[in-house]
Amino acid sequence: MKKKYILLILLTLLTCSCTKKDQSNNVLVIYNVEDYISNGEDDSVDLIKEFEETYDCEVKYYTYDTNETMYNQFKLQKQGTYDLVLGSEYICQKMIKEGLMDPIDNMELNIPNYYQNCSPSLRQKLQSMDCSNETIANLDQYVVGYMWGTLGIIFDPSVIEYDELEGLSWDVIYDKKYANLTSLKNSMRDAYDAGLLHGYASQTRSIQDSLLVKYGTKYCDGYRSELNAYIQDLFDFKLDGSDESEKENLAKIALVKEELCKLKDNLFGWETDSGKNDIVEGSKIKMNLAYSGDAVYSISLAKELGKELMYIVPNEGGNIWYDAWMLPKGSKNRDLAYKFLNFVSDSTNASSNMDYIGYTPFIVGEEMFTTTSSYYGASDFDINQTYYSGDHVIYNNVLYMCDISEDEEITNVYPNTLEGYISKEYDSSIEYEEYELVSKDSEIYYVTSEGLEIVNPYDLSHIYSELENRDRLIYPYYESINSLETQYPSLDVMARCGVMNDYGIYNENVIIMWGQVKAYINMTPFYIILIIVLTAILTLLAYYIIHKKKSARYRRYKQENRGK
Amino acid sequence: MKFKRKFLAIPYVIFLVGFVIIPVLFIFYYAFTNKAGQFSFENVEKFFSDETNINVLLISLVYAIFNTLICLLLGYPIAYILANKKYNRSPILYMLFIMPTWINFVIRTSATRDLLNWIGISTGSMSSITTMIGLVYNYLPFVILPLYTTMLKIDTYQLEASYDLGANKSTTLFKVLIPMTLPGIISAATMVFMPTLSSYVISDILSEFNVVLFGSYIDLYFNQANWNFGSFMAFIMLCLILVSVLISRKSEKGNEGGSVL
Repeated sequence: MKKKYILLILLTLLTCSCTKKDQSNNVLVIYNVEDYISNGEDDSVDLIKEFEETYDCEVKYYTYDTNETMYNQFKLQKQGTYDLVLGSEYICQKMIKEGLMDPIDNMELNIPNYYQNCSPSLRQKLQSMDCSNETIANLDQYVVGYMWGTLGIIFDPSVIEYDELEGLSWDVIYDKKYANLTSLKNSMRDAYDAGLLHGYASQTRSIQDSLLVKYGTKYCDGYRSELNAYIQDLFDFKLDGSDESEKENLAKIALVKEELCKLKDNLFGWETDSGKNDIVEGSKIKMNLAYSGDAVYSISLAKELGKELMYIVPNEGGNIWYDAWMLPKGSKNRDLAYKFLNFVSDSTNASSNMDYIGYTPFIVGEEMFTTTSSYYGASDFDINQTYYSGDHVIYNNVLYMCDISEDEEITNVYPNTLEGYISKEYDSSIEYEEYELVSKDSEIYYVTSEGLEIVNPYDLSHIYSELENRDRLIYPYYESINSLETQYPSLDVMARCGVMNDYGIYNENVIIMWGQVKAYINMTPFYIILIIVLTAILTLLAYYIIHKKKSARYRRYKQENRGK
Repeated sequence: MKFKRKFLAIPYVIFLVGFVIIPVLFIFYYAFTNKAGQFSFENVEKFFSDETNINVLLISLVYAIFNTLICLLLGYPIAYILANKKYNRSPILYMLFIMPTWINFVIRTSATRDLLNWIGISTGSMSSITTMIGLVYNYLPFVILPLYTTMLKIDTYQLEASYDLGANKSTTLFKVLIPMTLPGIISAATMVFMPTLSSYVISDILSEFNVVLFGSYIDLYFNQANWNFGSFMAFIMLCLILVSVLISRKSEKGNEGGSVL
């Protein structure tokens, strides 16, 4: 018998030592959101596998669904479990404040790709966000940006009345005309965003009007920065600790509660991740609160099925968010973590990431610009880039289209040689498809049935840094105008978007508010039913007791009779 | 060391301690401490000071009562037919009723959501009805099973005797059949009532998160990393379940006494 025990102990020791061996230097533990990296499905590039092969290591890749889950899970694990964790800006702020993360050490040396290719304006945004109470620190010192985007409304323009000039107001989700057609994210912060912006919508509109009077135009820096400051003020709680600001903050939460309770009757429901497919399928909902990346996914899926969807950040403001990587304190493999960050910040990898998940990376640069522009429209030609079948380029003010077979690519050929390219200079004798892109007299046009319509180029200079040989302009395909705006919001959209920082000490209040909103329902029928049930139970009980007494009396009577 | 028969219980005892007793102790610990880990009645105060919390509990109670009643009303005749050799000669019919439980209930519920929308019962605008349908659909087998087993044991001659002694059909049902199957009814009711109180996947999926039962309310707090308050609500649920178990056991015992007389 003893031998058996010894064997058992030996066996356990053996397995222990085996697992220990596994945790060698070459394991990188990553904690990311589900479906948030190009993983090899649908002909995409498997980035993790590629990374493992390039650096001869093993990646342990774990996923979560919401930031809150990640936070819970992270705190439950012992220090050093994860080497890299992704989170949205507010949870990054919270975790860094709690001292769970390390700052990035020498970014220029460790993550050169990010240092060189990250959008300067986005890094500036990160620099403007604080994440520490005591020392002067900003988010940029702690995180490496991964994806960013906005929160807006995706809708079916054939059902929801929409005017291109006027945009969309938050009122649309409250519109009784569209009752039971909208779903909202089942997430506290996203719902809060909708309630807040609708609650202050009339105030926002009057501020916008007065700013318009002051500056004369919407399209100037003064208007934009003042509007942005106002929207940001709406999102932020006043944290100076005085009674007055506390009152104000609580009033804000109460207003959001009222707004959301009002909204509930008009909603189809709340969704966690089903919305992005349901809106495409289209039988249940026609409007959905969505992240820009999911919207890009839904719009392109709908296009494949011959349907049209649009994404808009409503006029009265929206939310802009940034997802970024953090380096947990005490992680075992910092070196490999830096290598991974450098790897995903590589232009090629970032563009295949964007291709697969639909979200917009922090990475900009020559290659990203080529990927973006050839997907959404025409842009200036660059001899160093690779082009594929169907790409439109502009060279010497003439539009060319890449005309090669599907699986071929073309580099180092000038379009005017017409080798692999065809000219798209307008020729009235040729029959064009509706809204095809053509060039004529150094301008780009859409061909319509009523003649040529000039194309407004989409300017990406607010996100991209200077490109070498080309303008940062994209002449979008007619059907891609909205998708391009979704992927890269314009300056005007970004001006009306605020960052929703960590709620801080008010988090508890917002959670309670959220619970109250979710449980909000007309209680009268429930009270009535409960009263009926209670009376029924009491009557039954009374009947039972009386019946028992009766039968007892009857038995006694019988016994007495028998006795006689 | 000599092998004793009671050693066979060791694996289960380990399981019981690890997965039942220790987690319950954790619930107690979290329920009566605050975020800093100190003993406090903060959560008790928080729970009873906001009527929303109690309302959610009442809503769940109503759903649970309705679910139990509907399941019993539907399941009782079915179980009677299944157990009666006159109507049901092969066990296949019985299998058909139990078969839905072989499929994972999350998958089944998601399919139900699409099915209901397809036939025109919108999960968004009629969410309380669809939740009810989903609950009944999921818990019906749990009612049929105990009722079926009790009814199998019934001696049909006793029913015939009842008719012979002049009782009509309804008297036979209420005075003979139901009292005889009362243990089955009670265990069926407890098997439906208690899980419904804490169920939340069915209501979440089938009501588009519009119907919030106590289970999803607890989940909401756990999701937001408020373990203490969530645990306190789980503790309240435990108490409720304990009460319903005690009631059902007591009535079962009472019934036994009744049948002896």
